[in-house]
Amino acid sequence: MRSISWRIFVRLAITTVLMSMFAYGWVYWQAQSTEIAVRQRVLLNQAKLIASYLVLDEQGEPMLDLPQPIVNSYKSTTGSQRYAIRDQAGTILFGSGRATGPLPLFRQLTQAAYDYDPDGPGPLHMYGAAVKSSLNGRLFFTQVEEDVLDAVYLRAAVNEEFLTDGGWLQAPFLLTWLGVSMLAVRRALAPLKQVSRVAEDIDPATADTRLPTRNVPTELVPLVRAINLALDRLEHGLMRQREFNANAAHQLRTPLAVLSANVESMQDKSTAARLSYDIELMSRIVNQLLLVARLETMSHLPNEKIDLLAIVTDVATNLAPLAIASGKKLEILNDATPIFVHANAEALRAALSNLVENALSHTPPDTTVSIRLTQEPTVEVIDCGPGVPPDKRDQIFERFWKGDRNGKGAGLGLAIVKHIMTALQGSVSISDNPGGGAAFTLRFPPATQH
Amino acid sequence: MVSSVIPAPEGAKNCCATMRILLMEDHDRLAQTIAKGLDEFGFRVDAFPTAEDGINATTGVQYDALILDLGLPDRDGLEVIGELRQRNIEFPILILTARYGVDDRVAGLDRGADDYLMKPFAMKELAARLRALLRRPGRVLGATLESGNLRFNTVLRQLVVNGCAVAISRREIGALELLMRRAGQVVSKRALEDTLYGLSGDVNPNTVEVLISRLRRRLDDIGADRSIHTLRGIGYLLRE
Repeated sequence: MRSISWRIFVRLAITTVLMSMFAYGWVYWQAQSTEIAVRQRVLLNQAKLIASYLVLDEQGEPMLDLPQPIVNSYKSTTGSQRYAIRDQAGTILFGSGRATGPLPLFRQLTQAAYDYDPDGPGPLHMYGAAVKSSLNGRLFFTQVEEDVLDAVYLRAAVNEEFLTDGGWLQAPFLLTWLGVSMLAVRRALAPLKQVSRVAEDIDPATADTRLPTRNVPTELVPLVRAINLALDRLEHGLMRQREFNANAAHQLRTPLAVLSANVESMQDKSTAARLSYDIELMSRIVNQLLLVARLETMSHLPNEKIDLLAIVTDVATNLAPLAIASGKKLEILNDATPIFVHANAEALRAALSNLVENALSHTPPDTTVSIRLTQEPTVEVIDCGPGVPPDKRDQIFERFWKGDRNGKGAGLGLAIVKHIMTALQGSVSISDNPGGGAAFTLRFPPATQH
Repeated sequence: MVSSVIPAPEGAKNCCATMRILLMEDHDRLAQTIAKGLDEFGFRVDAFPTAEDGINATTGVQYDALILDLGLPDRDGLEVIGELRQRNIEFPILILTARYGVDDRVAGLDRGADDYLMKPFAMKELAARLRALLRRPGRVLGATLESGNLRFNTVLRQLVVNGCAVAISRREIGALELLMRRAGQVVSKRALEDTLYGLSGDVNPNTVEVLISRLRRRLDDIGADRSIHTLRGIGYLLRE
């Protein structure tokens, strides 16, 4: 997974390096041609200088009277320069010793520059300049030559100079270019962050949210549109799911009501009682399944500021007859001060009902299930049952986990409690009741002060 | 405590007159079984599958209560409640619903329904809730409250146990009346305080507790087969 910024960075860097190399090449070629021109001028001057020392003596014979420094410079063993003066026939009259190349074509001019390979396609290459001069009607040719090895040194020196001084100019140029490009890319992609934030908040409860296309680079608009269309289809599916849940509730509950009423009117009362028990069990499972289905389509519950004590009292009031009927007691321990939490009343009521029902079914007859409220805020539901061994405390909240396989209930109650508490950004945990039994603690985030 | 014994008043019997219940439910079999089931509890049920027929029926017959299914084919159940209340038909309305949402129930109660029951339900509970509605002051069963062997005539303010009237203090009888009206359900301490001592709220927190423990002993003494359960922090419940 490479980011767009990275891709652009790599491509720009490669392009910049290639462009620099091309620029270097061009400058190099330019420098080289300049150098040849300079060299030829130097050689020509040298040839003219030597030619100026050519004179005719009293007998009319040519004579070369070179000053000593010039002679020395052509005598040096390391020196790569040579000269020769030829007569009209091409015979060498004077020279520095080593042979010069053949005369170039002068084309009506008095001077000419030339170059040649004395050893074929070898490393040695000669540059030369020739001057035509006439003394008393006799023609003389003065040649000065230099071999290329010197030229290489010269060229290397020029290039080195350029690289060390001029080459550095490339670095800041390259960096600025990359910097500006990166900035431009980042600015162009900034609206995508906004889109991401909107997308992060989309869940089943906010299924009607769509991603904004405003400020998004035109290249990416089709993608955002396509995602929005996908969201349309998902929302449609979710709506159908919700309708199905509502219909399923109706379709399942009404026949159960018929069945229940028919069983109750049976003549055989003992069979009726057993069947009623089963129907009640089934009704509970159906109710819990429907509750789970409902909760799953709304992961973020709409919250409001509610009085925890009022909800707890409401739940306890509804369940008290059930407790008394099974010979158990239910109590609320609180100093009667309201405790406010930020929660969804319906979901909270469902969670508490499930927890208290669970406690009532596990506490033995003639014992009490206590609901204790604290200001933290927490709600503790304490029973006098067998308790929950530490190694079972995690799996007890899993769906369809049942401690007692023949027990009443679908094993959904505590899974529902956990699901709701998670949605309310709270938690549920189990500990041992010091007097025996289990203590379930619901923790809530404190209500924000308004 | 010695209770004086006096003969029970004649009017006590009228509590057992058949109560007529109007049922609006489009599910045929459920309507039939409700009618049959409630018959065993002494209710006579007229069932109608549509809101139209049900509302029309109220013009000819004086019903004691309405059981209303919210999912009727022709009209929304909530609308039916509104229309009946507009016509000044004051019988208690109990909503039957298969929908889970709290909103439907709250909306129903806001429109003027008195109670709700979610499908599926036990016939016993439907009957108990109907009786509780009818035990409210001014309702059919409101004049004479019955629970076990206790019978309380709210007009004469007279308590009869096993056919014998017993003398009991005014405060105690007030508490018992409230508990009997809501027999089988929890009556909060607050509700007792408000009813017995008014809304002034200046009541010693122990007053109700002392009163209830006295009433409990009294019920034991007079041989009542019902007892008062205390649920700490929640309220009191007369076991039906």
